[in-house]
Amino acid sequence: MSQAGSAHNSPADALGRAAAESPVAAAPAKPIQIKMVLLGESAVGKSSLVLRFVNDEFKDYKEPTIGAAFLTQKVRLDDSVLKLDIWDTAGQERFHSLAPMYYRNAQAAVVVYDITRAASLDKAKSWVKELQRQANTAMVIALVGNKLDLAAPAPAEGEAAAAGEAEEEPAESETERADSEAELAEGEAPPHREVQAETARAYAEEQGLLFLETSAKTGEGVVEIFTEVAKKLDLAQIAGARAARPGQLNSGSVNVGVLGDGGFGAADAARTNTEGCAC
Amino acid sequence: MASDNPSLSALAQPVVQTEPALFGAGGDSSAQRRLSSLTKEAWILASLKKRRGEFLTQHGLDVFVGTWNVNGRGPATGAELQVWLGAAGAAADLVVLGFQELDVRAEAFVYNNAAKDAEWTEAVEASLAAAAAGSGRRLAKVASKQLIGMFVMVYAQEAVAQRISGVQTASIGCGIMGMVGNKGAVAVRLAYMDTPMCFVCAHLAHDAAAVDKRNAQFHDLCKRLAFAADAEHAADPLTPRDVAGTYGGSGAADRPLTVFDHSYLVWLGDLNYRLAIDTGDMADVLARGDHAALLGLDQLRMAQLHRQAFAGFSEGEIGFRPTYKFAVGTGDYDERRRPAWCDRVLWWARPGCEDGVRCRSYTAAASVCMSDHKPVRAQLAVDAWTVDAERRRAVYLEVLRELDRFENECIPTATLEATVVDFGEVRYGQLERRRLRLANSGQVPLEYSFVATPSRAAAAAAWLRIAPDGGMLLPEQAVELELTVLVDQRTSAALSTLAEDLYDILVLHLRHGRDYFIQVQGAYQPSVFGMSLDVLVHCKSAVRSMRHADYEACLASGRFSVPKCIWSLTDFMSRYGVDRGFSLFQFPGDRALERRIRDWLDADEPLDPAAVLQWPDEGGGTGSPGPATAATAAPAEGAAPTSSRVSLTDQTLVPSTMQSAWSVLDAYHAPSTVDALERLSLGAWDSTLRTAPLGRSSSSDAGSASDNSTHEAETQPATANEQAAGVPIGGGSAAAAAVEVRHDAGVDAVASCLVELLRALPEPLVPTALHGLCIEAGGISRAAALEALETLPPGNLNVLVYLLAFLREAIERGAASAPRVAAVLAPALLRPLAPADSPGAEAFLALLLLHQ
Repeated sequence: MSQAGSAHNSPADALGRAAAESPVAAAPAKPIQIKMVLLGESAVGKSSLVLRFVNDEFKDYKEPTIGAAFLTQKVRLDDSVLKLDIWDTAGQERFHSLAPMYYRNAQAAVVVYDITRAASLDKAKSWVKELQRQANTAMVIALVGNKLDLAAPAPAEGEAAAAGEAEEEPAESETERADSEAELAEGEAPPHREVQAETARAYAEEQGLLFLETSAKTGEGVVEIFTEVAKKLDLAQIAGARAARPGQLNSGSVNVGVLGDGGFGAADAARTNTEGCAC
Repeated sequence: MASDNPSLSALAQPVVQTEPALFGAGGDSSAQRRLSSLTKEAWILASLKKRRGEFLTQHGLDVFVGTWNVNGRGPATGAELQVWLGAAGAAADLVVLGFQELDVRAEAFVYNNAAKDAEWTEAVEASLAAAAAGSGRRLAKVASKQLIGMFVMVYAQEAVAQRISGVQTASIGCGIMGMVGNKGAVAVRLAYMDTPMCFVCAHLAHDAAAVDKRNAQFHDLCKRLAFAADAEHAADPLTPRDVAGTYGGSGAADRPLTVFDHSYLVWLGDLNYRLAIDTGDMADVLARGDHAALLGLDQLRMAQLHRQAFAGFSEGEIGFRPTYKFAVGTGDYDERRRPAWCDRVLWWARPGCEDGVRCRSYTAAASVCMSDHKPVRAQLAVDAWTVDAERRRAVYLEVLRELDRFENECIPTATLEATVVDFGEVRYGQLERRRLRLANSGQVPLEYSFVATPSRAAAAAAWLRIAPDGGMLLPEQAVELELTVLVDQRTSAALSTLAEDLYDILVLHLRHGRDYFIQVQGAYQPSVFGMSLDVLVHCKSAVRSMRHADYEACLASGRFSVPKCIWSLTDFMSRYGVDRGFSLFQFPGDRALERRIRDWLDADEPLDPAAVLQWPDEGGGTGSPGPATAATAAPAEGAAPTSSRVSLTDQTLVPSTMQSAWSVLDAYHAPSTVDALERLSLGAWDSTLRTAPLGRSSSSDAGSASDNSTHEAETQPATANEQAAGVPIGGGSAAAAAVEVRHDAGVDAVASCLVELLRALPEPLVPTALHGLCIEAGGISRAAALEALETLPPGNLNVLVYLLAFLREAIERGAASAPRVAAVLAPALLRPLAPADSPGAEAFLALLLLHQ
């Protein structure tokens, strides 16, 4: 007779806790809702990254985002599930003034540049600066260099510099260049890497940002962006803040509040005056 | 049950029944979110269950469950045990035996000593060993737990025992004082492979009437029986342990386990439920073996039915006679007690593990007569699993993704016709409309609204209106959003001086969904209307051709003069009105002609007398019936001037409430549009003229304070337009003292433009701060009025003096009456003018218009 189990009589405190557990307390915890915003110059591939992450698909030509697209996706960490409410914003400069609607109340931001356009990194840096100045101080920011699939062998040092100068950022065009598939004007050189990973990484480290290079086209690094960001979030703090302000739970998404129910728009939350929500 | 583990019961049962609190909250969003979360949780579990073959390997487990209230007797003989346990007990993979009233001696209560359970253990082990003899199988003890008279023991075949882990026991007394172990439960929990199960042996309150107490004890035991957290096994083989508590529902890893935090919960014992009513002659029924009739009266079944206790639990079919109460040593019922099925074996399976337990047999050992209860036994076939954790994790993620996909499909989506709305050339006071189609292209109802942005608190710029600015669309429904641009004196200055562009980005928000940005743009044609006097007096060229920097140069120039636009209008009236004997300020102008005149002013071109004077008098052609229709068309040179009879004796033509053009527009979208359209079509001044009652002696009832955002909206329907021009003031209610008046439609329009220009000044010609002084002076004397006049800033004074000179001459020459001019111009010069102040303001002007 193997006495496999000695009587593990529950200690008194365990009993006490069990007894104290009201039905409500015993209810399953909800996934923690995180508002995340994507920022960056137009045509760097923000929407493509989100589509790759959420739907695992890629479109060669994609309409520019006029507005802010909203999608949701769960990310599983070791001991929890996060629900990311992702706001994919328009990159055109003329919409810049609307960006605070989306990064305000966000817990995470992904700032994207195009490794084949040096100027897009400058824009990314200005976004980072704006976020550091104006956004939630606890915000997790990731710097992401997209279009890694176009990282042809880098031209020589001087050549790269020359190319960078020659290809001053083109004027804002009505149609965004699709991720990795920029239409090549006749005679234009095929896109090649203009931003070295080391350069961007050094900047990211200096600013305390996560850094990754990705390709929405091949999928490389895409899931990692979102999981790395999720890992870096201070979930206890976020959950605590939510609990402390139950009225704003909804806004967790945009919550325009608009987020809302367990799953809706964080933007809603931001607009508490217009809505009570989010999923 | 509902009160013990809501998440589980909610999953096992319709949420509505088990979660009344959700609905009691009455639309509370957190309740709804929780409901939604429970629904999702249930969906995830259902999906995992559907795919469990991909990550679970199923193993059968034969479980023998026995329960016996031994009435303090025994231990039973080997033969008696043999009858109860038999070969089935010895052959089972797992044997769970529960006893009640093992020891009823008083000292058992005091010392909880184990004398009796040792004897019983020995007897049972001997019996099982004897039954297994020769089969080569050996049963190993897994655990046992005793609390006074309650005793549970678990044995397993040696091979099975090796795959058992996480064994824990617990006991709870809930008898005397709710604490003593004369009633209560002992329990064992274990995990067989990756399948945790819990066995509770309970002895609940006796007495037929104590059914509520039994129900309460059940809930009490559910709440208080607890085990330390199991770091190795999740309650639910379907859900990855590391996410349990987030979406798995079984609670945080370090939370004590309840009896429900297991795949299976088997509940056995003397539950003491009786038959609800006395059926009279039970002996007959029992003799017939009509168990169904009696089971309909079983308190336990009724408690389950009404969800008072054991809700969601299953039980094998009862094919045996009631197990209580027998005369000891016999098979005869004790005639003093009603027979009942006190001794039961029930089970509960976790959502996702439903159907994991099948009852192969459920019987009572009727020939064992040692106790006043018969022993009961159930043979359960239980599905147990081993888990491929990696595979399960992958499947779980796929299920989550599927849920995401579903949720994303439920995010409202829309088709918006365009994201740029171009209004082309936009002129002062001219209303432009564009339509934009918004369709719900998603699968869920869509609520949309235009929202404020960081740069402005309103949903749109001041010169833009959107209708409707929010609403709901069902799938496949669409709405035409109407965007209306109207630049009035509030907004014209900034646009005319090019400080701002006619450009705005609207944010159209879909509730719980995306945002659209809509760019609204137009080319505003700068206008003297709405421009500040400071600029007007310095303007040297056409406002249309000036650049932003020119305006700053204007302001710096330090010159004062009468604005050219004002001079153009007065000069025209002087030459083509006063000189030719036409009256001024008696009739509203034609809207189209006023537009033409405004264009000339804005382009700094002279007013073309030929075009103005030959303007067809629309009002005369179609005019409304009544004495007002005297006006005739085309008062060109040589043509007979229009005349009509109008009272010139009214001293106080009362300005009606000046309607804000926007308020009119807003009203346009209200259900009753006829009146609103009427008002929309008519300039405030026009309506003043048209609707002003004659012969009023007081203006105090003239309506509410005028709004300084007043100006004409230009899109009057044809019918209203026809009434707008040429209709003599006073309408059909002409007073007795009417005289012949000659008027010219062209001159009327020029006069209207002058009034409108004055009214469009961002700061009125008589600065607001000086209104009180001027109005007061109006009640005193001409000297006081002149004194007040001198307090005006030099630029304003200059212009006002010029105007007064012109008007005085016109009055002198019979083209207008001083009271009439004062009534028309006071609201334009002293804006906003409260009705109570009108007499003073008009008197002030009238005094200034007097000739020395």
